[in-house]
Amino acid sequence: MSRPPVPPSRVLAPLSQFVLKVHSRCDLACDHCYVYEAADQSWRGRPMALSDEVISRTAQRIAEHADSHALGSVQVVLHGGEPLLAGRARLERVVTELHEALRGICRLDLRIHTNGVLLNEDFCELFAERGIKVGISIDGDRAANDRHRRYADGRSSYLQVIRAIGLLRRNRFRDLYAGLLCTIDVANDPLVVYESLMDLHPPRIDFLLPHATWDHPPARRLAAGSEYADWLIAIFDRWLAAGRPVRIRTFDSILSTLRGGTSFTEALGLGPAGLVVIETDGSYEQVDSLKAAFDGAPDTGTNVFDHSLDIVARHPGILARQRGLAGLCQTCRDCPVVTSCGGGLYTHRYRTGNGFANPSVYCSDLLKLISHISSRLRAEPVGGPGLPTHAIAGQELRALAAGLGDAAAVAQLTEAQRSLLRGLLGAVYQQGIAGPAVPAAVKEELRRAWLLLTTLDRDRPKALQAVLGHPYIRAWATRCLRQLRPIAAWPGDQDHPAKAPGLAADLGHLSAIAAAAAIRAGTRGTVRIPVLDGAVHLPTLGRLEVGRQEAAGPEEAAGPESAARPPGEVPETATADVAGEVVSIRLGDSCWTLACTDLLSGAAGPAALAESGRLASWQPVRRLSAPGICVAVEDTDPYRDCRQWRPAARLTDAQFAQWQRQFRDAWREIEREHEAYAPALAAGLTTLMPLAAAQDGGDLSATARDAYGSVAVALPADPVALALLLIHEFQHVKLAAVVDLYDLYDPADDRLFRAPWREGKQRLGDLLQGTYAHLAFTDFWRARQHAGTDPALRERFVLWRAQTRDAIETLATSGSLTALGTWFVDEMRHSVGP
Amino acid sequence: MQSTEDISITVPSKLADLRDVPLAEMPTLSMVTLDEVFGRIIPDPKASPAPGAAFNSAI
Repeated sequence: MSRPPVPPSRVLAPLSQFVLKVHSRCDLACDHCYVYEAADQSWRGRPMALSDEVISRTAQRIAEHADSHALGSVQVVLHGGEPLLAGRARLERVVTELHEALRGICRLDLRIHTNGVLLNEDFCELFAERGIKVGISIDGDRAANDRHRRYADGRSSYLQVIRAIGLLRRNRFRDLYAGLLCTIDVANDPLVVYESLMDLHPPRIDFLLPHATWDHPPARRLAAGSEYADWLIAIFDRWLAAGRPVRIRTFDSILSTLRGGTSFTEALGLGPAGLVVIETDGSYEQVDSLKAAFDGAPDTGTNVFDHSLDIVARHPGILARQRGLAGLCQTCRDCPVVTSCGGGLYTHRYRTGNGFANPSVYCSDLLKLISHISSRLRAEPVGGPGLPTHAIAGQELRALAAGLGDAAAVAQLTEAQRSLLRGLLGAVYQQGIAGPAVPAAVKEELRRAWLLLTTLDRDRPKALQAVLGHPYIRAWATRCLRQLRPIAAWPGDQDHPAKAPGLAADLGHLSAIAAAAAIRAGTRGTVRIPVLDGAVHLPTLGRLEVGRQEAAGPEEAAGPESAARPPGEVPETATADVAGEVVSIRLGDSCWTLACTDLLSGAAGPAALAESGRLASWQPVRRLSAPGICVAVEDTDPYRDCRQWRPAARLTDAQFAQWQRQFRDAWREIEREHEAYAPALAAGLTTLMPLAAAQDGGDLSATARDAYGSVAVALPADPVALALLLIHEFQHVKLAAVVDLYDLYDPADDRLFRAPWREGKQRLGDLLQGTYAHLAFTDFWRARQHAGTDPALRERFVLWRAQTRDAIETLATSGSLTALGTWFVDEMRHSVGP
Repeated sequence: MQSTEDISITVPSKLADLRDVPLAEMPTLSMVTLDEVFGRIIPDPKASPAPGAAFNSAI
């Protein structure tokens, strides 16, 4: 992501990652260790552990740096030597001081990286209490690991490391397990190493090239060989063929950078390095792998007692790694894979005489590896073989950027959402079926629902499309996928989130979607639908309130259950038998029959009485209408609760009538006073979700990224307020859909920015959303200042305009907007006017 | 990255047009396609939590 040039006297990029050397000695004597076995021997003169003074000053320095640069989070890695040698008390003190210093300033991401041999339950309890993730070094199977990772007396450390990893895989501590770090030795079989690491079920792996320089190149059979690439390619191909079952940082970084994204490691990519090492004596050092270059290479001549982190951030060695392409030698700048490679790890470029102005000593390997991965990517183009991609006409996008956009612009956003929804539906099915921890009975229902859905898609696509256009299908799908995604990290584990009953219920909702589409299509199909909150839900149609069953029979036990149901409660499912003109809902001994015409008309159904005598009532989705617009009032869908405010309970008839009156008057107000917003609202606002009233009686409204076409509002006091809330919230809907399509800003920018209209700071994406909504606020009060003689109306307009302008300038000068984002914000600026 | 000089015509995105892809084929789409679709809307919880490139000697 390109950033504007910054004068050299200023910090190019704030430091956000701090490697804290809590202990300078190690209990192993690995012969490939860069700390003890490389050129730099500065460890010999360091204190063994951090002193209290160093801890305090370090915490203060990090806090003042985070505060002055408005960092949203910082990461501190407890490192060594072997950090566990510091002991529990010392580590606890470090962590406490860091938390206290950073409280109220930014989020603290704490990690520790260890060889594992000292890891025990006592340490793990501390890490669990303080939220510290644990990474472990291991080089593969026993033979591979024993090649280098031994005690000083030659003993193997393998079994101790395996024991430590076993500890992290226990239910109690599994959230601590950050991953495994493996240093490559090409003498080891890559696939044996890979599979042995996979057997340990890590959430992440990385493979590190052994540190080397042009002065001390890596061992190779041929001078111009590429054994390291071949070694990694063997693993990459296995990993890709297996569906990428675990995150591998090197491969993920190459895949990401090849698509224009960021790297997740300093060893690749052109992103600025923002890390500094703090030694046990309080010295600031550059990244410690530089120890492999020459004696004293990491030294900065600064320390926590006398120097701020801003001073360190201006150190030439730090700046050199923040200049992206400009910081590389000409050979690298001319290389076709430079944006992905980034010249490799800085240390690996060193050669006596010209320092770091060289390609990596692993250049041939990096070129071969990245080219190989790139060729695999080309075989799987982003759009899939032969698939076009969505595009928005420039004229429409310009109108959207100006805060407006007509029906045609919104229609293009809606069409893109159709693609997203189809993809999401396929992904839920794919990942649900593939999930090793999803119960077999749930998978069986998924298959049954999927068969019905795909048949409808082929034979009655409009009926399915009508259901997939429902805003809360996306909210449901993303909820499922968030739960399913970590499956790769927990294969075979007993308590994977997918085994929690909430996911089973969520996956069961696919059947409800299929049933609703079948009813709309007037076709046949039978599925089992979870009973959520005492109701059988048919998305877009309504719900059949059946009440809560006292106990479910054993055949229902594996089915889905309410998203709001406490974990562990037995789920309950109903069988929906759609038979053309009627649908029968069977639950235990009870069975209710409903006419599909009634369901489709939206008429409130009479209470239905099952043969068993159990009462149920059909609660349809009702519609608000005004000339030129019709929106669903969603007060039944179980997935509508996806915003920060609580949904209102089912509206009574009297409440609904009040909503209808106010909606009609608000729409009249919009058409009369704010007509530029009416076409987009009429085209894109499909659903209004009533919110529970605010306790203080104030206006309340919200939008959810995952609910396109829907806004949530608590009924305000008058129609003008409702008009403003609808316009305001639909701005968020439009921009969220634009952001679904385009990168307008660097999502990795974690800085926090102040918005003029609210307390506290927020991330750039949130500021963009708020500013875009305030374009409409400004426009609203610009129009209304002429509607009466009240001077307060003019004051509001002037205030909103000034605040919106300020926020636009903050966005424009953030340095994190893409080229398209810069253009977009520029259009926003023009629309605010003078 | 989209060149702003092209704005007057159309602005392509990376989002694959799946409207005419049969639903039955959706699960067989390449991971790259799905990643591109979902990476935008469902951020990976295991992605690098801190901005910038991460320290190589820890995970």
